[in-house]
Amino acid sequence: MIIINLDVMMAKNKISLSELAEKIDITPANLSILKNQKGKAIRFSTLNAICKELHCQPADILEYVEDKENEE
Amino acid sequence: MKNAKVLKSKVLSQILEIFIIIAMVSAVVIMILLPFTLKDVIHYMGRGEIYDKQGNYIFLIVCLYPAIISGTMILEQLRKIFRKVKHGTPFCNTVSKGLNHICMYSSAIAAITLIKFIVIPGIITFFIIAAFLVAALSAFVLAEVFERAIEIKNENDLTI
Repeated sequence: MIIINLDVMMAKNKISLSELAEKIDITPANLSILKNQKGKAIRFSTLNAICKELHCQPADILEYVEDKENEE
Repeated sequence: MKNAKVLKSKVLSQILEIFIIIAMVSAVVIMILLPFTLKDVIHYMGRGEIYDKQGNYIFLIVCLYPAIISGTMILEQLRKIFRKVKHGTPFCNTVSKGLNHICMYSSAIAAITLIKFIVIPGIITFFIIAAFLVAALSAFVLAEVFERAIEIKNENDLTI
């Protein structure tokens, strides 16, 4: 599964959720969905905006981890 | 994402809702007046002889009551669906459940009418059965389509 490490990157850049949401022009509710691993997909434009604001690479935000066998 | 309006004219959806409410009130009035007026209506339609000979008035009333109740329930589901459409949220579980209920009630009407057709055959009865079977099938297919649409919408809403 893909893990979103947005909270880690936000902490490194000392930026709050609402602040980042405003800068990348998406609603805090949507950013919260993304941060809490509830999202189904991420647009390239959103990823681009996040990377631009947090001065990082997509790999810093997205991480692949092996699925546990009992999980779907 | 903001919900797009399906019916552009608010007036049109309001007229539809008023029409459904009038139809529902009419159904209730018909149900109340049915035992008193059925004989006259059948004689007026020129089918009095068939029913008088066989003495099937009570059977007809027993068939008509559940059919009218099912018809009223279909109207109620349609009212709920139109309300959702009016509010710009047509892709919700209420609509797909409503369509499933319409399928169920239409099938019930078709089944009741089929029983009536077996006992008292008539060309109009045959067309009523066909119409409600088509309505039931259409509602079933639409419910499936809406369920898929809801899945896609949910996925789209969770694409950030």
